Amino acid sequence: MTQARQPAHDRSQQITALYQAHALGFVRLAFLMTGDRPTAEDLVQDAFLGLHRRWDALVDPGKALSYVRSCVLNGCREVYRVRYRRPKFRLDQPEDIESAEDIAILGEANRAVLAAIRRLPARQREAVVLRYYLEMSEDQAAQAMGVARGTVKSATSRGLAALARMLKEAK
Amino acid sequence: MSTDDQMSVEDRVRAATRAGASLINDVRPLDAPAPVRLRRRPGPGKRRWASWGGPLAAAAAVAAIALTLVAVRQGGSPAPATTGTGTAAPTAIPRYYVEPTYDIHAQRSGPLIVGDDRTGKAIATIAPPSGLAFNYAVATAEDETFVVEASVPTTPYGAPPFTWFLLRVTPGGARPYQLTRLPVRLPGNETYSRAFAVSPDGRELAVESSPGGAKAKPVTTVGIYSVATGVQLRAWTAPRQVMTELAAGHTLSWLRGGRQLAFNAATGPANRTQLRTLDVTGTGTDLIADSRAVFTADRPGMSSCRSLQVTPDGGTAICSTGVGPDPRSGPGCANGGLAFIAFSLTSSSQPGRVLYQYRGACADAESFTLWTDASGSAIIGMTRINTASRGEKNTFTVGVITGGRFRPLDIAKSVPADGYADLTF
Repeated sequence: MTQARQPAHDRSQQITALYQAHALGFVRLAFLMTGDRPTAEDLVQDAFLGLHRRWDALVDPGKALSYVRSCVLNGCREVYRVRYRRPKFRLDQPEDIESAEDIAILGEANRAVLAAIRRLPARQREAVVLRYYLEMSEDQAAQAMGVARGTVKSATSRGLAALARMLKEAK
Repeated sequence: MSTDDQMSVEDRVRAATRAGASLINDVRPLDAPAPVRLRRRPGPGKRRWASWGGPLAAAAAVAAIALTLVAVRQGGSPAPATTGTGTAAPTAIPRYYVEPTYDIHAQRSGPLIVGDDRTGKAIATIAPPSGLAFNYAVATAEDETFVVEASVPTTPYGAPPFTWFLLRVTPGGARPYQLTRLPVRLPGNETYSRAFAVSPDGRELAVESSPGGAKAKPVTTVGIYSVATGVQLRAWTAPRQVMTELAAGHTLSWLRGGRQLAFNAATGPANRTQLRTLDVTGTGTDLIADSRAVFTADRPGMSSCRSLQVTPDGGTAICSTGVGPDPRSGPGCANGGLAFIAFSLTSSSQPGRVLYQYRGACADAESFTLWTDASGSAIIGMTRINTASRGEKNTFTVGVITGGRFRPLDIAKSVPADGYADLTF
């Protein structure tokens, strides 16, 4: 059942409340995926603005966060897909975008892991981040990624193996 | 054996992702959904500031362009302020404007509309050349002359190759306009234009670009091209994508009689948007090392700028602000949250000088600077003000701001109001 159309003002208030409660988490997720803070913020902004446009069409407003998460993940994939094609999204090497303070906070070992994660294929990267950063179960990650549970399992396994290989080579 | 060696890969991923996430501790407020149609427009046009006081500058612009193009005639002169059949406009306010129309719902570019703000009427409606779509326009030193960018029509942005046309408006002539292709081409087959600006003397086109293609390095280049020959005369590069996008797109403008370029970039602390100036007479080729930051746009305690315009004398940055739907995100309209504020670039200790502040009620609102004179004493601004307490009832207005007042201009009815932010004066 489609909800009754709400006045835009009410819709804005609800979406703003959702943004205030959850935007930071989404930006962190997008930042881990893309390595670029402005891009991460833009992706989350776009996702919430998309939510604003589609609010009336949402069958279940309770799934608004799932919608936003899907938009952010799709946006991260798009960033990688178009990184060399469209100028809107440009990914930088992590070395370029980290301040001296960030480098000190992260430490060499964590920087190496994050750089390796960003070199993974998109599906493996998503699976690894959702499973080990957000601590999602395989079922939850499958739902967020829109794939089967088995796909999450294999992507996670391959991703971890690739990370181990990259980190070993980096020594 | 190190601690890292003893940790499993899973644990290393957990530790690294949490450490990485901890770098982000705040986010900017949610932007208002924009009923204003905003594409990635370059900085608003920079013109007239040289030509009103000095016909030589305008003549030089015409002469330079005429080296290759017969479209521009020496006879073109700035429109006298007192002429026209419509509402009188103050001296030095541009009379003609262009609007590259765009249907946001169909995501399709439309014709270019040329209008006259003295009569409130459209002078011409120009269809794009076959196979191309108009993207943006910038003004030149002469009121009747614009440079228009076109590219292969794709959504939501144009695709290479990018092409520029000289648009010469001839009101009252047998043909109301002349459109002539310029010889400027960006290097590479997949290079995207992101902003452009015409030098005050009309001889050079500055283009900010990024390469495309699967193996391209994500560099930013600002190149200067000869309008007459299309040859790239100078280029500065940054080894990564440093440009930031304000709501109104990029700032790229010529300053100080063509001796400097201004652009915005995320290079400051916490990647805040900085306004930087580049001395084009210098010898360097590094976009960041050879430029210097003159203003930080989104510093703490300051409303974020929807548009950031530098006055042609290089002395002032004009920030236009907005009011979001979240009352906690900043001052509302009644408290002056919608404003045009001038910041001195020569004295960082001076607070912003309010050029105009809307004090009425609103649910949300935004503003953009479309044109400024040499020093920012007169500007053309655009506002969208939603006054409905529930739902949306937007009023779009374009007007001249001077002496703290906002005097609406008469824009042709064929120009969609939600596209006013793309008007080029």
